[in-house]
Amino acid sequence: MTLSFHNPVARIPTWEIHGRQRWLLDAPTGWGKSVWLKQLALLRDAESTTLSWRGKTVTPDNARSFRQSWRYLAQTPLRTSQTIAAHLDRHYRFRGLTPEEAVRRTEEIRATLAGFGLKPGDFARLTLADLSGGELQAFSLVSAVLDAPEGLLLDEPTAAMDAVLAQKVESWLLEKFTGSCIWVTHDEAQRARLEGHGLARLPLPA
Amino acid sequence: MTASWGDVGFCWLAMAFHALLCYRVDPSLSRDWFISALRAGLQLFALSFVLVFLFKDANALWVPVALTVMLLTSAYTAAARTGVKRSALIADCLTGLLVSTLLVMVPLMLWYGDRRFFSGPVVIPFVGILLGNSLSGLCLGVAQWERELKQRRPEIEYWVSLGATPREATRDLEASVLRTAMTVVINAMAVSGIVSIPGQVTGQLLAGGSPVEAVKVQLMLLFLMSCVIFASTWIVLRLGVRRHFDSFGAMRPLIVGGAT
Repeated sequence: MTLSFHNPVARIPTWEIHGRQRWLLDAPTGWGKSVWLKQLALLRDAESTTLSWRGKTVTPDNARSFRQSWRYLAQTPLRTSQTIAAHLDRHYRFRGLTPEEAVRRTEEIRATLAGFGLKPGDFARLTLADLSGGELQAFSLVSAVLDAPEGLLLDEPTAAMDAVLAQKVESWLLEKFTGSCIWVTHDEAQRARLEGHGLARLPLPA
Repeated sequence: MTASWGDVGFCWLAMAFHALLCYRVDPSLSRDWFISALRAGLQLFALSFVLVFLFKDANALWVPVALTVMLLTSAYTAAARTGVKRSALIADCLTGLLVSTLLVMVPLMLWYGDRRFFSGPVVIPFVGILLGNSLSGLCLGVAQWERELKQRRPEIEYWVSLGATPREATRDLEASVLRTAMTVVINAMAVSGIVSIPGQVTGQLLAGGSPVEAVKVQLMLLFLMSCVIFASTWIVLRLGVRRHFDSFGAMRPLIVGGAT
């Protein structure tokens, strides 16, 4: 399975991801990492991007299914006054899950967060805005990984977590998620650990 | 009831006194108040001559010209209230107002089947009241739409990244904007006859007309106004999605000083 990206205005104009390759993107602040990930996710400059996925060019007609397969996680997760239950309900409607599957998945999220030592409380009453930055990132990452996407575009996914939680979440993700990913990080210790798990540094243009 | 220029001057003095009080709290609001009052005076004074010309002496072809000027001014005002005087938004507002007005006026004219309804003295004030009152709802709705699209960009992008179409990603916002736009007319209908006597009824009563006839025309206006507000706002939102999102459903980048 190859993902081939080409956008002449992007910082890395051409890139290919084969099979289940996992990449680490480490570049200075202001380099444009977030913008590049968004371009890859067709959330920015989509009309000037040529993306080939599953042997076909991504067009406006199949952009939806591409985005569902390649999940982009923003640096700052969504924080709204919507309850977590309502948020997940809408999330799973987009994913096309049955109500039973949605309930099962929600319980799986709760159990995974509890496994990290987090107690997010009652999803029907708590809003996304009630969660701390680290809890929110963990919630966002867990719900994305449990969707079993083909690829993940992770923009500093553990930056708001303390070191202990970040390691737990990171280990869980590397064990649970089997697809491709591009992981942006500024944390030197995390970079070393991820390289130890086989993530290769993405070469930056000169 | 009749009014002399002295009577108008008396009311102007009352307004000036309040506007001066307002100046102590917010000089810019007071300035806007004075400028709007001056504009109202000049525009209405000019209107009286224009209407005399249109209703008595002019060729019937001037009626569509007057309606076009009314529509263009309404569209520009609706777009300008958002703080984004962009030609695309003005064009969207113009399309929304034109289509929604035609949607109610054409069937109404066919229903009447009376050539007198097509004449300037009827159609110009009727469309004028329709557009003037609908404008408030449309302005509020469009301003909220443009503002919240900027503020809620991360949320909308989140749903798009999950595979939502622009329409699906902005559905909550669309419902909220339509509610805001419709609140003006829904409130007006709810309190009509209890708290407020609508302007058109007041006008006919002061001119010595029959209350029952005045109420019938007012009801027609209220019903049609609600249609125009809903349809024009909905059209502007639909066209807005095309302006703010590209063909892949991604939000277009922000333009400094603009909405997107």
